[in-house]
Amino acid sequence: MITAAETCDFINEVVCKPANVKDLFEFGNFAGTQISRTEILIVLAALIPVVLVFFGLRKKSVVPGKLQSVVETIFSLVKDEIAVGVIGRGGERFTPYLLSIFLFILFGNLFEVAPFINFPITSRMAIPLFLSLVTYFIFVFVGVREQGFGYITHLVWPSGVPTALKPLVGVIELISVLLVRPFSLAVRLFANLVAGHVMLSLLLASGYFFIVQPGVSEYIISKAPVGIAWFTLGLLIYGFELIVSILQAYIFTLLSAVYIQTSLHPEH
Amino acid sequence: MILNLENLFAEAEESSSGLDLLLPATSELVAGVAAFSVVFFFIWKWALPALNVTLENRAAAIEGQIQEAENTKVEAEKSKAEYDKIIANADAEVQKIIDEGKAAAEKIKEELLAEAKSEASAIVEKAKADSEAEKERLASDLKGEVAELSLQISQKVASSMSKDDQQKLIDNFIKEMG
Repeated sequence: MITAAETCDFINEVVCKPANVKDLFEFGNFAGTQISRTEILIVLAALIPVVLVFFGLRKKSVVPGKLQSVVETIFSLVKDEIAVGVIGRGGERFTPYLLSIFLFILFGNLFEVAPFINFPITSRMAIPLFLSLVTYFIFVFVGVREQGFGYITHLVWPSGVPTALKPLVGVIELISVLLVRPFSLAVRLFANLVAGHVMLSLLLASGYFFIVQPGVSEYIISKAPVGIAWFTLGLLIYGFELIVSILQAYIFTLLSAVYIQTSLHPEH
Repeated sequence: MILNLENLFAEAEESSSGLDLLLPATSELVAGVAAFSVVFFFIWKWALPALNVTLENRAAAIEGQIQEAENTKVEAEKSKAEYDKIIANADAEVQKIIDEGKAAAEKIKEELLAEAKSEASAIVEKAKADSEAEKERLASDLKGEVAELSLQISQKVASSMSKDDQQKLIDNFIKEMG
């Protein structure tokens, strides 16, 4: 935010913006190493849920404490509502994967609204693309294993469609399932988090700059209300982005389960 | 604001190909694979088994508590039935105790009365016997006194009478005293 604010032209702009949009997404290496801040955050997005889950389930108490209750609720949500609820019979064995992507994406997303971090790792294409490709390989593998070659022929020559339309629908279905699905899954998460990050950064940076006006020789008091307005809107969007962070993690996990379900139970 | 964002992206693309942002950075991809693998193996090998153990323990504890509650309920119902029975029989028990008490009291009363009568009778008998004995003793004493007085009188009378008169007097006296 400070980086964005430093390049503001508060005389001519109403919403300030960085000279280069990369300033919002790419940061220098961490403390003179070859490791970037984003890579550190990626590792933290894995370690934080691991540590929380470890401390939540360490005691294995029959009467759960607060942390254990939260962990159990999340596990139950993914296991019962998504793994078993969506995939159905045989869905339980996908629980570890679905739980992992949910927790990893959730904490990666929550960095967007985490104070002093304010950067979701899922706004970098590497993470959504990697996870969607894993989902893609899983559902294709499950489809081939469950249906054999019939998985592909079923896509190319779908049953229940008038014969005249089968070639057209088959091509659409083939492209949709094998090419579009992984990218749509990745881009949905990526785009939502990029949009949220850009919006928050610009609003809060504008608010900060117009209120504080750093490096300005003479403070222009009439600009302060503009800053207050942007900052207030930014705080409202902050709450909205908190919901988006949780929702996008849920949607990614849910869609992964839906794709696996279509491969596992094509009759549905 | 939307226009501003559009301008922002347009300017950014012009200045430094914003397309870079759509391509995954290799280092981030490697970090992502490693980090996700850690989460996945942790969840797979430790967290889910731990959760399953916890849930099994909880289910066992709940089942045990339900069983215990059922046992307690059965015992409570049994106790309640016993208490109801006791309460239902309480009036009869009370009446029985009262009747037994009355009977015992009556028996004691009769025994005491019999004993008192017996004692009274014994006292009366003893008093009668004592009275009779006293009477006899008094009569004996009186006779002695009378005899002595008679003797004294007779001596006085005899000294002034003839021997025949004395004899007649003595005989009459003895006869009267009979």
